[in-house]
Amino acid sequence: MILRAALYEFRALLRHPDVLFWIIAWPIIWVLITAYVFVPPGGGGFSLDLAIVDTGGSRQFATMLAEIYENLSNASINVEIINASCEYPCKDLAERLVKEKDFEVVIVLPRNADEALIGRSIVDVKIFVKASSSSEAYMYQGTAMQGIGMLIGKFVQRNIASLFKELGYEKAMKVLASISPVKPSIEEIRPSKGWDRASVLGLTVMGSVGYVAILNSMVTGAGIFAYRTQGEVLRRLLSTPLRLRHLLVIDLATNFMIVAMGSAITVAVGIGIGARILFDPVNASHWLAIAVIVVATLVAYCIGLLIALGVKDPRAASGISVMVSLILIFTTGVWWPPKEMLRGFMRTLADWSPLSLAFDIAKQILVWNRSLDVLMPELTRFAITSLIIVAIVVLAYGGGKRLEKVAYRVLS
Amino acid sequence: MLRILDVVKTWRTRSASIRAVDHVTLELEKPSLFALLGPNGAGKTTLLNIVAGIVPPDQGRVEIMGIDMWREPEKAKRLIGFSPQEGGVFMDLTVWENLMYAATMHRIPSSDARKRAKELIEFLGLEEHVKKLAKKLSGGLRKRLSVAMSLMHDPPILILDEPTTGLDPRARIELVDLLRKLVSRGKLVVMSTHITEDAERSDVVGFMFRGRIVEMGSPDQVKERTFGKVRVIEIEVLEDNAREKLAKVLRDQGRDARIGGTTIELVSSNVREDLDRVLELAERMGVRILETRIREPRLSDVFLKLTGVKLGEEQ
Repeated sequence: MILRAALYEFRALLRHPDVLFWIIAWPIIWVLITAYVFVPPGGGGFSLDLAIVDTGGSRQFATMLAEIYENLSNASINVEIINASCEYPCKDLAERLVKEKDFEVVIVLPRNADEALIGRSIVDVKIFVKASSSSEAYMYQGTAMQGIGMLIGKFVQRNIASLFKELGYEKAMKVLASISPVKPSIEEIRPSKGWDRASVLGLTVMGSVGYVAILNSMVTGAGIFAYRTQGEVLRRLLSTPLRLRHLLVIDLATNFMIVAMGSAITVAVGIGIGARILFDPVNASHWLAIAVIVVATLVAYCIGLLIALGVKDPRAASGISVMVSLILIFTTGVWWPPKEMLRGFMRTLADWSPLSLAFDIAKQILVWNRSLDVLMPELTRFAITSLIIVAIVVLAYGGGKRLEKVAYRVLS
Repeated sequence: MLRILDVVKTWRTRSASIRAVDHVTLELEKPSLFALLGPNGAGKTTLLNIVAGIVPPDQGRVEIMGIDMWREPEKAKRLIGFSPQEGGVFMDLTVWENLMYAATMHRIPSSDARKRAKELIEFLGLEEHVKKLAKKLSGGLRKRLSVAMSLMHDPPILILDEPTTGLDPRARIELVDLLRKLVSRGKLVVMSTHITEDAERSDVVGFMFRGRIVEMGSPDQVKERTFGKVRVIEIEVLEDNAREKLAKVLRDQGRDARIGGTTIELVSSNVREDLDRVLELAERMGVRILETRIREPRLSDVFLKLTGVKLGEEQ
């Protein structure tokens, strides 16, 4: 009976535009925004149009520079070599290229820059960057200098080879040491928590699941019976053999259905756009992660029930539940950022909120594939805090006796 | 079938307490249409909510077919169908889904529920609207759906809170016709209303005022008990001052004369004599009478006579 009733209520809720937008559409929109705005495919970076102006005798130099820019990994650069017979540094031409042709960077080479390739002269290169804002100018400047730096590196490499040839190894090393006494050596180690695009998307997807579970459950709990006041459905239900505790279970079952559907759609969309969500049906820890999310959904519902008991006006209770749930979602690491990045009281709250703990555990297992033994302290803390909240609700409702109080308050 | 015994209910707020139902006792033994007539705030909804097992009384008992509603609520609630004032339908479910939902609440097996729903859809003329969402239905159709939901488990007693409120006259007549059909099928139908025309069509009417049942009986009985064998003379006077003056003189003469709109309503046991007197008096006073009409007393006249308050006025 309860399942059938919950299915009808679930169907009714799915026809409600508010539910469809906030529980289904909004998390998907957010995952898509993250995927295509904050961590776009292709490893991130940005694109820009760059012009290299050859004022004569600099063809090789310009071609070499163009190749370097085209191969930069952190930016997608469209390079165009322009032959011009202007007077170096050709400021008028550079201005026209930026203002009229929409180039972000213009590099002007002086006449006969190719001579620098054989080490005969120092080349004076002029770089113009588009500067709609200081941050934009800084970004283009950095990219332009990165290419120039790589070109210089190539020259240095070639000239050092001829230096070793001419001076011999010992003398050449001494000369090099007097110029650059430090030789850093860098090696990349991949952390266990990856920050690649797939992981970031995975975290966002799990954050969205957290948003769906917490917001919907808390609002449903706080508005217990209240949404059935539309058309006086609650009065009809109370006139049937149905008891209040049945209504509570129907409410909870409907909530689980909504959360499951919203989460499934969000996860499917996330995986579709490249999020890393690991789920192996034979891996017990993956099932544990799902169980943790289910318990967190129940805990959020319980917090909603506490709000319903404490706030007399059902509409105010609903408003407060939205506020509390959003605070918990956005400032304690459920959605973003991960709790390691939080500071001060927010970090403390995240360390002790069962909701934050739940979605942190779920992220660690389902995105970073961490083992249960590493997560045991967090799991223990989650179990204890969840039990405390459920126990408080059971006590506050006097084992169900105060449900009547809340129902009559809604009716009146 | 339905016994309400000395029921009392007081609503308490921080600043005040309101006795909504004040020692109400009534008994309805056979299938009939019972109208609980009273103005807004008289306590009708509270009384029906107590009868339907939604709100507990502070004192007193409600028995449904001999079963105490507040001692054995699950048993008693199987014997009633309740329709709240706003219908109690899920706006985002279709007509069919609402009926199936109602069946679920009463644990009716699916196959029986489908059969029953088809019967009720036909009986209530909802065939063309089965797939429509409740929120897309007109007020009249929604009330019919509400009645259908209350009848899904085939209860012997149907309790309807203001079923005709908000409906146009035609829809109201059709709905009361439908309720009368249910009575002919052996149901006891209890409805609250503040519309006297609907109460006129009931078998028994109970006048509720300030939480009490002040009069009860068939419409004809209560009229006769209140007024005897009398008629009401309606004297239409367009000019406000003249109307007021004439009514005052009649009242000063000890007559039951009240103003309703542009009309003075005079209760009379001797129509011919009273009409002559009124016309003579009006001529002497220089009051121009536009028209006179003679009619039977209405339930609204009874209510006015009993309470001094006109139906439709908020309490």
